[in-house]
Amino acid sequence: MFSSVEGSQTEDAYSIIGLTKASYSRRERNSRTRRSSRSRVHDTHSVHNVDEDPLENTCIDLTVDAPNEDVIDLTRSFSVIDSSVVVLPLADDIGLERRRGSGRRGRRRSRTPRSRRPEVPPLEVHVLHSDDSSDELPDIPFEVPQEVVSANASLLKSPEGVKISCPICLDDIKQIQRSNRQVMSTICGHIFCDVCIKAAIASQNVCPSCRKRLTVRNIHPLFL
Amino acid sequence: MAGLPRRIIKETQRLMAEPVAGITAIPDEQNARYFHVVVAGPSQSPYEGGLFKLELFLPEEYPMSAPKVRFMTKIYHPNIDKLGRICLDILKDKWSPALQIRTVLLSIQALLSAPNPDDPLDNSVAEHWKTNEKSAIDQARQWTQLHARANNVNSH
Repeated sequence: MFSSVEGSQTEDAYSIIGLTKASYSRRERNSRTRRSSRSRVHDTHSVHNVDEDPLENTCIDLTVDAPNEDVIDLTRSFSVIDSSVVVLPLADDIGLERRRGSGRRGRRRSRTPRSRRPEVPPLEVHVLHSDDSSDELPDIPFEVPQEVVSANASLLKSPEGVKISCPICLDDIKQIQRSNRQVMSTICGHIFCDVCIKAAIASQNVCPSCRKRLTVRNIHPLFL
Repeated sequence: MAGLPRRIIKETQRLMAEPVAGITAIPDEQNARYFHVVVAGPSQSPYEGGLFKLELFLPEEYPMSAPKVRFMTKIYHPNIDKLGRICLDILKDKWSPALQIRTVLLSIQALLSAPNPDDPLDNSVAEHWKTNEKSAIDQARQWTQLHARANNVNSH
């Protein structure tokens, strides 16, 4: 029984230590809401054992305490952000200590075999390291689609480079404003001057650009 | 011309300044709402090598209503009848005031590349197209040579 459990537990411990970047950021988002309740729980049971992937287990057995000296409270060496207590086996702790300066990537690889594992039901454990402070956060690859990046960049760079004109009267924004008309947008996102879009809706009830059904309630001014 | 909407003036100026490849549209000297149009038959189509003369008229309601367009040159096409009238949705119920002379003529040129015998205007031509497409295309090619050769256009 003991040996059969060991393999998977080693695996699980690895996944806790080496939280993937995705799970890390997800955890960060979730942690605000969970933090208070969790810290209360951990205060009363200052030492817990880590057994399972934290993402998959919601079962916490608070009746079982840390069974032996193999368990070390990491709060001694890590000031955990949310004050929840995180306990990892000694070998892993050493591994983490060695890698402290190296950022999240290094920790991802820390996988230390253990000789002995306590038989404890799975716990939910949230690992938040204070050494991953804000100055390290840019280390997390935040994936934004390239087209979004370039679109935003062009908008930020030259808003005046975007030529806005009414596709019906063909007047540009300056001509529209000079003649006291208003630039309007439809709910489908197409831009016209107020005179033209009202005339178009009166004659057809559809967006001249995409043919979506429109009424005069479906347009609004754009304050450029 | 007095009272000519600014939109029409702008469109005309742009048509002159940036002409569309294979399309010319010149306003009539007497009537700025009437355009003399010549569309080149698209390559890879039975109309290739032909120059098709059309007339285009912008009605009073334009751009809230579609321009009136008609082929002056005879053409063998399932969506164009003997009188040169064109069966094209954007000239009818699918008209949008955001469309322009330029886009209308491009659509007509595209219609020459892609005849649609399932929505016919001339039933006999469409029937010919559906029963024997090769023969119909041959006929269209002959008509192009017969009626739409470059030197024929000016004689209309």
